[in-house]
Amino acid sequence: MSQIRNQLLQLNGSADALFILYYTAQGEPFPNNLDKLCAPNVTDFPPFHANGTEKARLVELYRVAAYLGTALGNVTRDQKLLNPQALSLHSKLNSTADTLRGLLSNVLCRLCGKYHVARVDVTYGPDTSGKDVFQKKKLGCQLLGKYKQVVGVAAQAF
Amino acid sequence: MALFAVFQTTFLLVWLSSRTYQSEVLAGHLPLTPESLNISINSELQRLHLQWTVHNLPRHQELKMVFQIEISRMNTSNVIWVGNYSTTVKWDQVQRWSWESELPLECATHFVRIRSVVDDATFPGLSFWSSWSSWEKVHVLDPPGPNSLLIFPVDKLVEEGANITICYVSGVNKKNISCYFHNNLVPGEKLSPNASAFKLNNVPFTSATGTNFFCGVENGDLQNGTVLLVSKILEEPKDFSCETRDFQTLKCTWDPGVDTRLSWIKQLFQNYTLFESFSREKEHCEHNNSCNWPIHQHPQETYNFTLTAANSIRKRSVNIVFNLTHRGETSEGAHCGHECNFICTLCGEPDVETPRLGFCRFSPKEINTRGHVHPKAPDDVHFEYIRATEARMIWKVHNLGNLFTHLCHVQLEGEGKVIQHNVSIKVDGKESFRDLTPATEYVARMRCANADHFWKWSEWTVRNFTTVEAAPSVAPDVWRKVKSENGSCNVTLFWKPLSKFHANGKIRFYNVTTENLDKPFELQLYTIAASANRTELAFEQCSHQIRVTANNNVGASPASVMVVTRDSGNGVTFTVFSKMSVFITCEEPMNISRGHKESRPHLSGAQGSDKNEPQRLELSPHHRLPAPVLSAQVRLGLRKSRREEADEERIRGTADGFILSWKPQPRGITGYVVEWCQRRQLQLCDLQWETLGPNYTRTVISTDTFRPGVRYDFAIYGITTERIAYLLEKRTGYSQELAPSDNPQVQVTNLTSRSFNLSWENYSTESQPGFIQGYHVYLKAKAGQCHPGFEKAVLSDSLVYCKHNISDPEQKTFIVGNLQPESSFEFFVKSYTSAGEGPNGTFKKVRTTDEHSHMLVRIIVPMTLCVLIIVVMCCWKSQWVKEKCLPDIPDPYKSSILSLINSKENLHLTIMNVKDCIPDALEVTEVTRTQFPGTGKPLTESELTKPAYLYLLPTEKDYSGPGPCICFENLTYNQSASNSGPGRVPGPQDLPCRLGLSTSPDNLQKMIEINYTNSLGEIPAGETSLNYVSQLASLVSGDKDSLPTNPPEPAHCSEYKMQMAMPSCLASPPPRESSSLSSVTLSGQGEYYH
Repeated sequence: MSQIRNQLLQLNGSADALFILYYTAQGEPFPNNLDKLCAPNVTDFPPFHANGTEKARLVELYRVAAYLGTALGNVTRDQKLLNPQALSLHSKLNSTADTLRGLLSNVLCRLCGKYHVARVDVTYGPDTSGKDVFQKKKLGCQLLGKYKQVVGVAAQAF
Repeated sequence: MALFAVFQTTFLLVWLSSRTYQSEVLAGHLPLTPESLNISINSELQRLHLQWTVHNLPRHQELKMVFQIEISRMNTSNVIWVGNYSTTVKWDQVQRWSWESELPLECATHFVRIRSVVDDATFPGLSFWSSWSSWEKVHVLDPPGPNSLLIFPVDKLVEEGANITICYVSGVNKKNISCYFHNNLVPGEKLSPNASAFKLNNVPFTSATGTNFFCGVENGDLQNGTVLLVSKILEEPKDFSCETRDFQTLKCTWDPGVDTRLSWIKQLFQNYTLFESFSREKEHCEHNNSCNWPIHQHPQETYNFTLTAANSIRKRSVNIVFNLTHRGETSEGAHCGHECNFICTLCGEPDVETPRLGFCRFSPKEINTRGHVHPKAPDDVHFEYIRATEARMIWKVHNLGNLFTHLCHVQLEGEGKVIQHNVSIKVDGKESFRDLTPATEYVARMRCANADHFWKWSEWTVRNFTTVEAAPSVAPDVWRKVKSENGSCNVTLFWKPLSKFHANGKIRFYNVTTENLDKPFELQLYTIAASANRTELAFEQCSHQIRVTANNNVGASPASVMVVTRDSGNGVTFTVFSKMSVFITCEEPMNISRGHKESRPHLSGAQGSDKNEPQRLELSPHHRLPAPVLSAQVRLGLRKSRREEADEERIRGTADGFILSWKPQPRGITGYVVEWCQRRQLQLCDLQWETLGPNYTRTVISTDTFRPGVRYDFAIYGITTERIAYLLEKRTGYSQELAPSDNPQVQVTNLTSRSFNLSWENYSTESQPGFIQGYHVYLKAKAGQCHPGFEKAVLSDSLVYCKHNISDPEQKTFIVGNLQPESSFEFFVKSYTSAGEGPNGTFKKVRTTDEHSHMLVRIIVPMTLCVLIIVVMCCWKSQWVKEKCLPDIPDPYKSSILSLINSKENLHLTIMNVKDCIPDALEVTEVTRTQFPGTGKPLTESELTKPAYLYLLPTEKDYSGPGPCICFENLTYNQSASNSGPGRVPGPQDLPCRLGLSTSPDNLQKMIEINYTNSLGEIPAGETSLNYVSQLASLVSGDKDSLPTNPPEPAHCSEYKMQMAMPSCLASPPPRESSSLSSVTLSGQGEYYH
């Protein structure tokens, strides 16, 4: 459990920097219109309730981590295409995705070991490959805004 | 002929009838209206593709027609474009045409219609417009949802500087939508209630990642944007050329110019294609700046290459034509007309996709008539031999079949110089280098080119080689310092390392050979390591010849020779420059030496004669008179050179260094040596010198080691033909004088009411970073006035001071005079050099004394000393003083009473002498309580109740005469005294000495004069059981309290009662000569006491 807690704290600690790196790399008007372009309005984002039981929180955290893992993968792919020179952003996205994968594994292990939950239905983020460039940028920014928000709540909950 | 005419007429009738038929047929099919108009859309390219057919055409019939196309936007009446399209129309052929809209097609509905006209001269009757086709509506986008905001075009790729129109389509009732580009608000043009267009002109390139165009509803959540990808403009390839190095492959290279690649995959780096028109072969280049073209076994000689660069937006091409070996003739422009069309279709300009409306242009950029053979770098380079001053290099060029003659360029670089040669060879080359420097590393480079038709040099082939060593070519530059002492000499030899040019190799060691000139053939050899630049030699006899050689692996350098004599140090040397007579007096027989040679004739007549007898000597030039010399008189042309006596002239350094000049020496000088060193560091300094030729009388000493503010001493020596150096002149100076680093520490002396003296004797002028030229004495001005001799000056603090200049640096005292007493002054002394004054400092205060104070001092001090002496003397001789001045028992012979009595002419009075009294015991029956004088402590009861008996027994010694004397016990004495027993008289050591005079002698005399006769009778009786009156007590008063204050006096007489004990200090034997007289005089006075 402590590993989950530490991973959440690690993600929470780097979420803000990742968010800033991202919207800075997208150029104007993103940095000056965060409330419009990067508002955490992500449809189908799995809910997370901090006041639930540990099992419920773990299940919800699993769904969140699974969603974020795929969505961040899309964002990383898009940014490598759109901003190939933003190496620090790529590095940060990759390390966040790695940590999310580790968190996902640990949460599943906890669910399985303690609560004997072997399977959790998850949803994945939308595929952005067909979107235009501006939409890719905007969706990524919204996702990272949501990520920053939910990981903060999750870190507090555990 | 008639037949021919008939045939011609028939042909014309047939042809005319045929044309008439065709016109009728066409007229029968009219109108030729375009039909089946079909419009397709390419949103990315914003193009409308039109397709239509023309019916009513006869089968297999072709017509030149012009189609007029009309395009409206939003509604049919808003025609935005009208254009004609001419083409040849065939039966049943679909016509195609496209149109690019500046406005994204999604933002507005477009309408298209078309009509036609026959533009064929063969059918002039058909030249009228057909009717319009019906309007075809082009509707790309359905109205978006109410909360949608769509922006077009999406991810548009444009070139830098292009004009582009961006539009949005929003849901209904969405107002106040603003759009921004680069954070700048862009004004829009309303297309419809829900659509607006924004025209961006001359868009700049800002980033390879694109630029965001952003629209949003003010104060709302609705927003969207698009990314505009602005590419740099593709440039034409530069410096396009092709060459071969091996006749296997042609390598074409170029400079691609600006990189138009975007960070987005939508546009990669521009690609390059190489096309050769004669072979009609095409090569897609893998690299963006080069491309390889294979040469076939039977190579063609002339090539016509076209290089085409292309990106997503446009293409650019360049062309070259060249003859590879240039064996044929120049073909400039020969292929232009033939190849134009082909090249146009291949490398057309941006309108290549619309060739019907574009223009095909081609103009060869360059027809290169030079050969394009680029030889490889020479190889197999080696040296046939390498010697000290010459070498020979051999090399080969790449074999191209002996078809070409190569021009090879050979460079030899060494010793900072470059020598170049050109050699014409076929395959093998050789080059000899001469006049090389031994033991020097050289760099040989060579490159070759086609000598017949120069195209390019090959790369350099570089070989390094080093010539072998040779013996050093010049003697080392040697100088010396000589110290002679007691006939022996310590010589320090210095030498400079040989330059690389003269060393001819690495110097391994130095050989120093010394030869005692007094003992020929006595040689000493010293070998000094190459790393050393000095050595020290000690000679018992100074006269030595020293030879120094530098040695490398090959041999020794020429020797540097110098002769050291005793006079080379601090001795005395006389050098004769012309024949002369010298009178010389020696303290001992003296040899005359001629240089270092053995010709040392005795001084004529000197040996055996009196040493102080002057001798005459004929001297030839360059005779040297060594010490010891007592005195010498030189008549003519004799130059005396002594180190101590050489004047030291001050010089000033310049930007170029120190400029030294000296008087030219008449003859016999082989050169000069200027040595210098930092002052005060003659022992430790890094001695430097410069050797000059005999024609020099001036030099500039310039070195980077000269530092500002450091004093350097220079000495100029002349070198004789005997290799003896003698001092000519001395100089001293600073390369750059600085202001003094510190100011004098001033002492104030001789402070008076009118002046004071300033002194800075300890100030060292030698240690300053410049020649001290004097001192400035500053006084703070009072009321803006300065004392005489001072002038006003303003220092850096902008205050006015009074300044006095002392221009003599050796004057280190200054008297400030004409001052007011008891006045304060503030002074400060600065030294100065040519560079300025010393640093600022704190003014010191001084106050002149009171004008009378010195007088007071002169009076008070001696007086105080006198008083102190008197007091000390009084303390020391207090007993004596008291006895002399104020005795408790006055000497009657010296008493003023006696003089008073004498004045009254009472000749019957006599003075009793104490020795006349014989004391006896006296019993006291009643005791009066009293205090012991001086202590204030009353006697205790026991002490008082015990009767005290004092036996006043005369002693043998004290007894001087017969007669009994009455004694009594004095209770004022302490117990010890009373208990001392009979016969013991307290000595002087038993009682403290007390001086207690109640009145002065004058008062005493007055009282005596007034009360002398009655005083005794007035003493009150009954207060004590025993009243006694001493002489003093009887004279003073009858007050009983005065008793303790008047110490008891010794009583010597028997007639009246007196105390016997007395302090030793007051006891003095009465004079013997008056003793008889006193006993008689006092006999009649005892009755006054009871």
